Amino acid sequence: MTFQLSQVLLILTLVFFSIYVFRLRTVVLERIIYFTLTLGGTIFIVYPEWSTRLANHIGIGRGADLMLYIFVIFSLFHYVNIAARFKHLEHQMTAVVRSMALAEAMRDMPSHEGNVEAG
Amino acid sequence: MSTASDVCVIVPTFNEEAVITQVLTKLVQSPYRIVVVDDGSSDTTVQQIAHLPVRVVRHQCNLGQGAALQTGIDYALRWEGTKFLVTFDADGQHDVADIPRLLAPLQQGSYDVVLGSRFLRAGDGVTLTPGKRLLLRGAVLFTQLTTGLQITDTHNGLRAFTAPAAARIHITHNRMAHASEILAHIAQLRLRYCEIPVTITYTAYSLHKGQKLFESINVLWDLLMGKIR
Repeated sequence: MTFQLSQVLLILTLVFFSIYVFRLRTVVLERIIYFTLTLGGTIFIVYPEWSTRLANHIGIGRGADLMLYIFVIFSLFHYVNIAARFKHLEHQMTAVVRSMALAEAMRDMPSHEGNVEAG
Repeated sequence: MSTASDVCVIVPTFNEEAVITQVLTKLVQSPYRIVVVDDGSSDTTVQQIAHLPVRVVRHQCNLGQGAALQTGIDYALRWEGTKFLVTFDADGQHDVADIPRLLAPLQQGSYDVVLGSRFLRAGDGVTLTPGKRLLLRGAVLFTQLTTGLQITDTHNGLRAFTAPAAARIHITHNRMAHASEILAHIAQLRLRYCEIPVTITYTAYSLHKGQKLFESINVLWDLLMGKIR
């Protein structure tokens, strides 16, 4: 079989993406999800008509529609993931900045007034 | 019986160089302890207040008013002898003379939290623009529905807590949703609360610094995301 240039470029992009993800993400579940997506993407790049057959199986007219739906769902999953991570970071930063601020202020507090057991 | 010096007034500031000296000059004439929490101001706020007899706690970067209040509460509770905590906005909208009236129910031991309200007296709130009044009414309705608290003003920065009550409240919403979050804590912890009428002075400055209508969407979003998490 022969490959189109576009297919080669797309597969190369996916391969680089998956290498990057495997180095960056160490959570097993995330690796499985990204690996599945990369594998599925590669298969559909090599055999584009398979996506339509799969789509028809589950009641979707065109393969391109199926791809769009998967893309949207994955994007939402990704957004929630990032948002949770961001929130976690914000809490951590707040804790760090607060403890620094309090430590500095307590240092300046007259020693007889400091009450280390409170708070 | 308590004395005025067991009262700690927490003033969160962020880029308030235009008014902070004026606001604090009035506050320092009171017998209260004053803690200014500077939330990473990039202007001269900190230099302006350096000569005043107030304690300053500085965030290295801007986290938001909710975070500044929580830092102020943490500091006030570490300050030995603090029995009552008051939160006081830095933009000049509150009146120092309201603080004793806020403290009275706490000092009598009948309440854990006293909240300032601008809608209790007849004719209160008439100086508000219709848009702002509608927004605040909406916030009251939202709070009554979600917490069951019977209060008239959910977004008043003037509040007073007993030290044990303040120690149980932990603000996690860094930005403006903290006003609703404090109320949610009051409801969850079943703290004894009441409202006291207070005077709000709307200056061009405080209105400019105050929240815009569209920002309430952010607040609602913060609250909803906080519930989902």
